[in-house]
Amino acid sequence: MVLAGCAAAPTAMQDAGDLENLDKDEERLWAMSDEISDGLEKSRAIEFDRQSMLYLQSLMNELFPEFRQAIRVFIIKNPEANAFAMANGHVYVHTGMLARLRNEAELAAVLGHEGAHFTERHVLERMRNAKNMSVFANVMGSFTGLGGALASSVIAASSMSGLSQANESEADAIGLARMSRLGYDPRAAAKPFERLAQELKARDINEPRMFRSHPKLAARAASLSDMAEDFPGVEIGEQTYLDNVGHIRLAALEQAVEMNQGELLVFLLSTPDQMQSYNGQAQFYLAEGYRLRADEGDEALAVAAYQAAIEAGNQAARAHGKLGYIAMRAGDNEAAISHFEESLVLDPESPDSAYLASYLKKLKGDNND
Amino acid sequence: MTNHSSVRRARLYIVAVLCAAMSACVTWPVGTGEPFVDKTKGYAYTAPIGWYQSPAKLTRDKLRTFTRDGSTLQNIVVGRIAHKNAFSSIDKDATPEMLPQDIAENVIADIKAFLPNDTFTVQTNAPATLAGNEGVRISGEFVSEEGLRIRLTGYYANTEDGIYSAVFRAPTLHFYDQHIEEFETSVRTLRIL
Repeated sequence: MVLAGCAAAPTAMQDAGDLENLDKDEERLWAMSDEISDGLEKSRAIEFDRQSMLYLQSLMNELFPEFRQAIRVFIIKNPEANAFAMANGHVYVHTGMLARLRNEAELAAVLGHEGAHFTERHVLERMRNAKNMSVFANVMGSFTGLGGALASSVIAASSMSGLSQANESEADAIGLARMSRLGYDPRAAAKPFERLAQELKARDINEPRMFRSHPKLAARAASLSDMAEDFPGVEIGEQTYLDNVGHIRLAALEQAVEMNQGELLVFLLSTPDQMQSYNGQAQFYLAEGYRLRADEGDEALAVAAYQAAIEAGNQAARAHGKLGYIAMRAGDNEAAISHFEESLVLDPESPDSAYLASYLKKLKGDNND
Repeated sequence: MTNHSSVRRARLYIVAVLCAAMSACVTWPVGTGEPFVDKTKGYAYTAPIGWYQSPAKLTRDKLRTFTRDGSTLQNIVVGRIAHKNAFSSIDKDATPEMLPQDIAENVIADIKAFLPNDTFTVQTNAPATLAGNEGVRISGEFVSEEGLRIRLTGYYANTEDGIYSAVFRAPTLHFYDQHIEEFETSVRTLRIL
């Protein structure tokens, strides 16, 4: 055990050619990683959207040209913020992470960080330093969300479950250097951490246990800002980013609705700059956020946001359906009928259409009585 | 929440193992066309003929499981869920005032939160009746941790006393199609006493 604690850090890989000479324990680690990756990739968790997958992969290839083909990027359908790297070079980014990032420079920072975990063999180092394999198996689980950790962990926010502070700092530095070399503004790297710290506070979530031995989010952001001073770069790439992953960011909002995460939606969309980053297409989801959160006063906010969505032509059919539902519950049958009918005219195939038709039948029957 | 989830899963696993062990010793009554009556929960349900009924009350809400060839190949789970903590995977209570659409929304979120990696895809979600009550019928598919595609169809109806449900689950390949009609027929036998 003492010896295990003193295991030397594995040598960083220089290029994809190093993958030809893996040690026995690294081969075992790859086999474990492959098994987990297979499970993930065969499940419905992966977003196989060609445009966004190609975009992320291309950026990763530019960041790590000597590891082209060795690092593969996948998108996981999950509205919480997370990105993580497996020992086998598979990097996973949540749709929820893409929803929180604002531009290509921030994405480059995340991918640069995750790519560095792979090239520096941090998971192998963690395994060699683990006191026993069961502890390491738990770490592997937390990487992949097996056992439910991923689905409900906002922080997963970091890619860094289970890795040491030194690993994280090293990955930050490498990520910064790589993004800067491509001309991206390195000051962008701290922004996601600043926003995640705000999110934890706003959503009243404690920083997860894993962070007790890792830099806190705020400290992490400060450290990245300090390091950024040493690197050049001005490119932000906001429009390119939104053009390529805008639809995936909206899909993350839909996933949050399906998972009843009203608080998350309100956090993501309740300020003008956050809303602006969705290019006027997220008003409906803000309304859904208020409706699902259902705190005192939220119904009025939801109604206002649904009306704004209708005015903006943003998911107007669904917004009418929800307004009709709220009116029906309040006993305003006339308004309810009007909204339901409008919804069905606008989109007879909407997900709620069967319900709306049944409400209409009932309400009209009631009115006839 | 993560820890709660893990603890809950661990407990469920232990309960499942214990039940499996117990089931070796206890006879599972086979359905003969007579209704199973749960006076405590206030319902009667007639399982398809030849299906076995779980002898023990396995869960918090004492739901009953019925299967023909073994629970992993096909099962129907019937019962009444209390409003309190009805949607436990999303830490949410139900209320008697919830309309069918609210119930559907929360059932789907609860299933998604419970399953690994959020693999549940809704195929249909529409109003339906269960035991004469307004309710919902939800059908969807998920991929198990073993990579098996499982299809699920459930009826849910909210009442003053709780949410009545009848849920059929089977591997998509072969078993779902083989038994879905039997399930649909049996759902129509559910009566609230």
